[in-house]
Amino acid sequence: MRYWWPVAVLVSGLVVGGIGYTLYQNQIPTAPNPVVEELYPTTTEIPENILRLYLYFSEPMKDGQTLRSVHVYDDRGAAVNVYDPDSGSTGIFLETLEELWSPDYKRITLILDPGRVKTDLDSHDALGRSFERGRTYTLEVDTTLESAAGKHLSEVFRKQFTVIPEDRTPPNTSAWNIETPEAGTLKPLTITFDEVLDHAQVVSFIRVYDGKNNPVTGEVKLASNEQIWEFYPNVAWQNGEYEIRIDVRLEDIAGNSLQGKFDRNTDTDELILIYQYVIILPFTM
Amino acid sequence: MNNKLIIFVLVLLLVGGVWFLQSDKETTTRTMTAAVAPFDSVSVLAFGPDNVLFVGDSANAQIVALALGEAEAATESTSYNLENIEDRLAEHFGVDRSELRVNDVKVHPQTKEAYIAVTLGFAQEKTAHLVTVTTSGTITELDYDSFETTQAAITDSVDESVVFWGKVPARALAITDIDYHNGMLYVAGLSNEEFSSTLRKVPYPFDGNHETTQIEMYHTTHNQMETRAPIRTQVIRELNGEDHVIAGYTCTPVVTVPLDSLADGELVSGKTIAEIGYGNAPIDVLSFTTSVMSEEGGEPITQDVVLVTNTHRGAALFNVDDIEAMNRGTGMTEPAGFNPGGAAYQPLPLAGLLHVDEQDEQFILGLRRNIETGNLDLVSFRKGLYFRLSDFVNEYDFPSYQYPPEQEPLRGLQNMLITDEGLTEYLHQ
Repeated sequence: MRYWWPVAVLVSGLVVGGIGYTLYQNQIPTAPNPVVEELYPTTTEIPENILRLYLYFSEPMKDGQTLRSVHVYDDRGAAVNVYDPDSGSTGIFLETLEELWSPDYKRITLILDPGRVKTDLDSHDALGRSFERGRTYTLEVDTTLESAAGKHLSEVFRKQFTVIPEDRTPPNTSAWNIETPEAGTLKPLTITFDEVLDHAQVVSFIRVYDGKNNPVTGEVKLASNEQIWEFYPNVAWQNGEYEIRIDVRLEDIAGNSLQGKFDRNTDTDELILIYQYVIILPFTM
Repeated sequence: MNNKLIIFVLVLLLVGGVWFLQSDKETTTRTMTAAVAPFDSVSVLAFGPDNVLFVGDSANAQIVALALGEAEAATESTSYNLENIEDRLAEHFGVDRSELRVNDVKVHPQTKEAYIAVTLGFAQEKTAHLVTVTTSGTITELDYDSFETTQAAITDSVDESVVFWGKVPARALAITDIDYHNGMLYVAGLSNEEFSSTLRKVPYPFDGNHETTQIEMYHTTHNQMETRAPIRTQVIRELNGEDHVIAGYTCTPVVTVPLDSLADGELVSGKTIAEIGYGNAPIDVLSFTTSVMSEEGGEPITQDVVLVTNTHRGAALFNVDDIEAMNRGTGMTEPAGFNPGGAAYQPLPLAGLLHVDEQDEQFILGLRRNIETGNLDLVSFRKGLYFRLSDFVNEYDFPSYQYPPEQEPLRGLQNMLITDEGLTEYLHQ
């Protein structure tokens, strides 16, 4: 065959082009592996009736099966959040049809089974609290968890905590210590709470207003395991009246709110606040 | 170069080309979408008056009302026998089954067709779709451009005045149920930052307003413990001559609240009228009428019932008379022990039932996780019987079985169920 070489050139061109295009199509995604950045509450002393945990991730995560990757072990290494048909335990976390992700899919809320948190409920009496006081537990997030981009956690996340006695005392704003900064500065307004509060709610439910009823914009930072709230204004403080407004739904980490206990005995426990939606703590600069 | 080599290379190229086109076609199917849906998520569905379909769009914290318009009423009652609906839906959308989730199922009040909410993908990339599924298995995505849609926001607007870690607070609400009753939508939800019992009342047609009530309920104990907890599922119906919310909570009290008591900004106490047991969460509450044989024989009598489906226990069927009897009193004030208590109910063999709706006079429609196959089945259950005969093998199924004369009614019943399930070749002779 005389004209074999143009055919060979054409064929090799196609082959090289094809390989190149295939490689281009299948290129390895460049998304980074996600990590767990933080577990809230950050304290290592957790009351036995804790209501919520929050996991923060470095990337938007794939939702739907998160609880399969979350394990809690006691100090003997036994898993405590497993489904056990014999005892009827569905695990220590509340299962919801829709997982409770933040809109950016970088934070998930894990609610401890409230039936076991509250006193006098069947789940509580039959299965006990999820955590026993005085013991140490480890929460683990394994690497099967994937980011929305399909990358596994780069490492296992572990956090150890010790369980302390239950907290059935609602937070009390009159026991808070408020430090006001000087006018003309960008220094923070600081509140030291009387106990550890839910970190998400102290961001969502505490607002500062100026004397003209305008919200003061700024950034919240939390310190001392969410017992200190620092508010850094975007614009320097002015001389005049200010108000700290607190939504009464604000809870401690065991679900007790400014309205009262998480679960309360109607014979003996007062409902502290029903109709008042905001507690106002005024200050002058 | 010999001819054989050229032919070999050409064949290779042909195979590669076909493979290449094939893979390219797959990519095309995957990205193919219909009209853009007027919502970003579908957590729950509810039908309202005049064939309006309400969509609980958690991602946008809103309710979207789709005015589907007039539709022809179904002329006959046929059962759904669609096994493995997930694979059928995955094929329809051209995606892998692992990327697909079914969120809710409701039956169109006129056409009696199943409306199914489907989510494809994950995180912010997810898309929500609504399809109709006929009893013959035809899947059609709604033509979202062909009807009017209106929206109502159900949370306060996001306050962006404060940032934490450089971001605005991440409060979000997962809508767990919506129900329409007398010009009003009742919306229950689960917040990612708050374990509350806020029930929102949204007037429909939407006018931009909504009211909120916090509901507390009693624990079933002698101590009269009262607590906050989010409603997981609810239904609205008349009890003792007054409209009530019947609400199902996690682990698993059933609570009644008179609609009249739901005033804006108030905190009201619900009444625990039954306890289905611990280690469980309710999925759907449904209220419907069914006819049952009267004990004296003769004409069947009509009975009002309430059905609660559960995650870890069988379904519970209440007679409304029993609920009303409990609702007249103070509710459960004695500990139930570890057992169910309060209003009596019949445990039904409806395990794995994820969602349920009334289909028509004869059937309820269920979406169930088949425990044996692991598949999701879209199947009807005949009211009054509440099971699928083909789920079981029993002695009657053997051709050699002879029905004695007194079992003729049983044979008739079995053959009715076999016909319901579309298995007429297995009719018991």
